[in-house]
Amino acid sequence: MGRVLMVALAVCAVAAQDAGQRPTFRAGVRTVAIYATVSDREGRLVPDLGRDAFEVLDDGRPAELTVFSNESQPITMAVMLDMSGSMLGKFLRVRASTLSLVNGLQAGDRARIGTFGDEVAVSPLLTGDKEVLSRVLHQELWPGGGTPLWAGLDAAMTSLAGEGGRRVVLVLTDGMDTTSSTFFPRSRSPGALQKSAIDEGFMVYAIGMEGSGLESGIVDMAEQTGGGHFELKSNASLTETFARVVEELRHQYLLGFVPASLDGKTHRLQVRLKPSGLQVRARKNYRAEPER
Amino acid sequence: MTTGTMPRIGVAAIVAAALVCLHPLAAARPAGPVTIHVAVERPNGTPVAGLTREDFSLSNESGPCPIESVSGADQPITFVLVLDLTSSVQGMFSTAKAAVEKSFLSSLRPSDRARFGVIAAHPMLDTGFAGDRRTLLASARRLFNLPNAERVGPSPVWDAADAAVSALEAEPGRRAVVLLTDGRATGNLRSVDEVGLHAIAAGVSISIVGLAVQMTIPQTQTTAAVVRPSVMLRRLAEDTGGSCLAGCIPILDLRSGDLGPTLAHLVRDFHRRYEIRFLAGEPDGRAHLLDIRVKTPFAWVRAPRGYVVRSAAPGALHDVSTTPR
Repeated sequence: MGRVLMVALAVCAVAAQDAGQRPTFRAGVRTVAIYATVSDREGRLVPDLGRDAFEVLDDGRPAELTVFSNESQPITMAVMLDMSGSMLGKFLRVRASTLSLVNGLQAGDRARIGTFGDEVAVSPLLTGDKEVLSRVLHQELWPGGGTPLWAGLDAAMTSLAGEGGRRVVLVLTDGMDTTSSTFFPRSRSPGALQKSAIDEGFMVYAIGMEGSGLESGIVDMAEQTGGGHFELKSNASLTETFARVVEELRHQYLLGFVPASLDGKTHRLQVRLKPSGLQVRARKNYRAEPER
Repeated sequence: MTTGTMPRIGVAAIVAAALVCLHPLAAARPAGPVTIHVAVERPNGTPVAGLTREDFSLSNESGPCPIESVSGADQPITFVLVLDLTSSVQGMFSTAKAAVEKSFLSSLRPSDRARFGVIAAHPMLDTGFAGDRRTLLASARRLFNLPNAERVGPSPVWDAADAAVSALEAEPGRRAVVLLTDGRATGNLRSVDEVGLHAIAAGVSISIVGLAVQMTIPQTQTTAAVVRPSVMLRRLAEDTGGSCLAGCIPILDLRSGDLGPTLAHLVRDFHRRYEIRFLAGEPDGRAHLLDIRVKTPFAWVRAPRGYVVRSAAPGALHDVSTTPR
């Protein structure tokens, strides 16, 4: 399917759900899916809220939730690892931490490994088979080269374009893009990637590893798409940060509503919580693309 | 600590995996002899000529296998030569291309045939085999002239090798894959072990001209990562009875070096191999370990580390390379 604006798949939409029930779908209705992360003031995840705790505004107007689930959702994720020259000294840490992430996958989860450096390469194997993922990590990581961050993100999003449901791109890097426009002229610009991420409902997580800090473009993309971003200080645990991302993904709420109109425009989304003292992160936009 | 290397699995594990992956064939044909091709060399690489059946002993995991015949006669060879064009070998590209176009082609015997392939974002093989040098030269020039966009993507070295083995499966006689690559494989559907098994089952050897560079990267004050792409290249060559040459030569030497003599040596090596036919029992479609020894002192044998009795229904052997994930 071309653009997956909504978790709709032509067949889709979701009948009302009670907490704890898996969503079911009925044909003929498009539903906008929102994955929301809720945490308390200390940053601890809050996974046990009910439907009534949430309010969704579509361009400022309240939207009726037709889907709600606080069940753990399977993870579909492309993990993009920066292999550029400036990451050389972190090579073993990166591999060990990514192995740990792979070992934490659960039934139904699928991941693929990609790298950017000399080349941009995304494994064609999107799988929950830990042995296969481990083999990729041992046999297909090659350090060296520049930092084609945007080309890497482009390749990761393209690799997940045909997947349904929540599609996550997790990027680990220590710095700014240096070579996308020079050596990968076919890759999309940061602006085009952000638009595509919003329109197609990707969720971007970015981890900055002890370098010059994450580019503002990727931080913005993470915020717009309802993902997250982390800056690791020297000697901070990458393994724990990966685990935090996985934990967030496991405890995200699935909210859905049927948009009042499919006007082809980008709509502003707001998710609010009724209980006080909690924070919520979710995608900030969606595109109401008409049915074709 | 190394990268590019899973703990060495070795052929025993490969064969064990194959025993799981390959299903016994439903309709077995009468057992026929298995044919393999082996090189016998002195420690300095000099080939040992004039050996006969009595000089060899051969066994599988069940015990000795009777040797039916040994022949040292030169025979035509069908090659697939695959050149890595990805950006990580950019510095070597001109040297490698020139060596293929000159030395490899001029080393072929009139009855040999060849086909070219490239490792790029999308691995490609040219259409069909040819023996005519002019045709092959045109093929090489066409195929090696890839647009840059194809060179900056992944490097599916193992998938390209697997495609080369598949291309040779239906060809008669002696068959070999020659890979010129730095071994920095990415974006593969197949693992190196799956490709090795496929080659063993197909009776195809894979030889490597390694353009690999070893890197030692400090990680902490006391640890370093040693990145050795040549490890897996060597493993693939050894498991399938091929050669691994120019494995870890520093990149500066390679850039100024001439790969021509290496390629010429490889072609000569194939023509000097012995053909051994042996009786291997029932055609069970399974992979078996193979141990070949030679009684000549100070000589060693380079041979595939396993074999599959080929009496399978069409397509069954290819299952080796399509293990469900």
